[in-house]
Amino acid sequence: MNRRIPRIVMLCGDGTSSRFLYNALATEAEILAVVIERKPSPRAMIRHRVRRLGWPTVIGQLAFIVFNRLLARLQRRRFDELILRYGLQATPPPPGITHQVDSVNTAAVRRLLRKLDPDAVVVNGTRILSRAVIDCIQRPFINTHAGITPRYRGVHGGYWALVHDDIENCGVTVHLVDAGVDTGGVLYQQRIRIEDSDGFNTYPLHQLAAGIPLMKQALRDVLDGSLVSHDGVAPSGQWYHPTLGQYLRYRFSRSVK
Amino acid sequence: MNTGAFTISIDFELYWGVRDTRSLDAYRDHLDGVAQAIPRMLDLFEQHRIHATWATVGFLFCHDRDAALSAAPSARPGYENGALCPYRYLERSADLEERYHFAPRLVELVAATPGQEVASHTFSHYYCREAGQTAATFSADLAAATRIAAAQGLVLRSLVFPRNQWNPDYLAVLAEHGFAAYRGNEHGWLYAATDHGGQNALRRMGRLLDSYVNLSGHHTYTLESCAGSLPLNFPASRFLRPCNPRLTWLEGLRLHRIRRAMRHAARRREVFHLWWHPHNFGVDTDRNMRFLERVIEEFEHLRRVEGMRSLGMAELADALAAE
Repeated sequence: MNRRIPRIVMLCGDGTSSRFLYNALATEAEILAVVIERKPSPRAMIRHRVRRLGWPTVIGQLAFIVFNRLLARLQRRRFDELILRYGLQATPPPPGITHQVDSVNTAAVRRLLRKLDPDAVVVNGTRILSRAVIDCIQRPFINTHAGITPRYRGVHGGYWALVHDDIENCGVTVHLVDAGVDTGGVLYQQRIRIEDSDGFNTYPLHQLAAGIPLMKQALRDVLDGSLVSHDGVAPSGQWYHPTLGQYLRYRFSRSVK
Repeated sequence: MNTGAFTISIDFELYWGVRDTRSLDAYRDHLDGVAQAIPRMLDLFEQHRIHATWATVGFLFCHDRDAALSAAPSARPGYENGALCPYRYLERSADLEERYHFAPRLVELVAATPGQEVASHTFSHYYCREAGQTAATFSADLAAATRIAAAQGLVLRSLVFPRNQWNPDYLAVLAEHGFAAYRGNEHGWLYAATDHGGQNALRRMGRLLDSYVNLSGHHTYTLESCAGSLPLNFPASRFLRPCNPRLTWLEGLRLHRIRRAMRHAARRREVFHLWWHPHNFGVDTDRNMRFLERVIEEFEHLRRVEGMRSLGMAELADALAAE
């Protein structure tokens, strides 16, 4: 007997990891639509961060972003090696199922979800979903988060775990989405193994590669009606981009690349 | 198109491309190296699954002078500048050195390599903007080019105008002969198509500088912007200038200029169209090949990360038709 495969919609950021995830899931799910959220303008991003974190931190983060261009170049060979090792494919989804939007929190996206009524919605790299979107269909929204939640919510969870010498919790989480920042119930978590040649730009590849099988399992659970969430690893904490000063300090004091 | 595209076109012309401007003795070294450079390029392309369009002068399909003269059209261009006429040169040169004028084995090698498109650089390295020639003689030239390719079982679908002298009045002639695509020039004054007299020192200096420093932009474009009636124009983005021994200290800048444009195209889902001549690799072949390898390494990275594709010119036309 042929096993039914899950019908899903993906809500994604416009980045490489979204394409990797799409291609990995395309073999095991019927992907009805891929909604790609355009990157917010840098000015809007900076304003938002200044409100939350203040100018000194944001200037440090911007300095790190510039510095990371060089770092990414140095880590590129390893990056390419991991893409090959994990068989990640960057082919974009077909234009026929791709929808470019300015924000996933729009009425058009809600209408699309209601119309397609998928078994589940896979989320990757978007802004925080509004309650209106999450509630527009009675289906699970599932996110792959690059960090062990709720201890490493936010961004660069793998990096921050290494900074805190918390190797046991350097990993990836597949969780249900609620209206908070990575606060939804945990479905699966997996630790990753970092090698000497890894660095800031390659930790997320290990996390994505480890998260893909977990996401596939979660989607199978959706069909089986066995999706169960549980609490993750406490205490809860939200993490942001490192500043250049933080990165350099931890690079030399704790050897985290 | 939902991915960026990396397009390569190569103007394969041997001595026909420089005949009126350089003596054979002065350019012999460059042409001697072509027989080594092309197989190395093809090996690299096959290894990295690179698709390229080889715009080949029709004479190169021939084995010798007699075959070239018998394949030539009866209506020939009457250039006011007689030095441009290849037929007069052919008829007056009873002892042509074949390896500088004909290359049927290399054409076969290109055609036999996966992903390579044999295209046209006209039959006689025809100059579409020079005084004295007409649309009728251009049509006769293309007929000769398609005939000689057909004799090898090849269908020509793309064309590069020699010296980039593309002429909007002749596009209908291209369509009549079944061409789906041609390579136009980069946009802007530096790269405007002109006759020989229009290529002044200022333009040449500007182009040289532009290959190291971004003066004129990346010249990438969306596939959709090329839509229209056949033949479709897929303009060049950048000429892969050969390594200059006097400017080796600037090679990093030259590579950086190309890489930046490739990334720009990949991230914006645009086309980056790189072109060169095989004889540009004829001297300093090792250094030029290393440079090309680094360009292709960048493409490999962009293929892995951005899903960028390698497409020849006819494949670009097919991709546009499929949308």
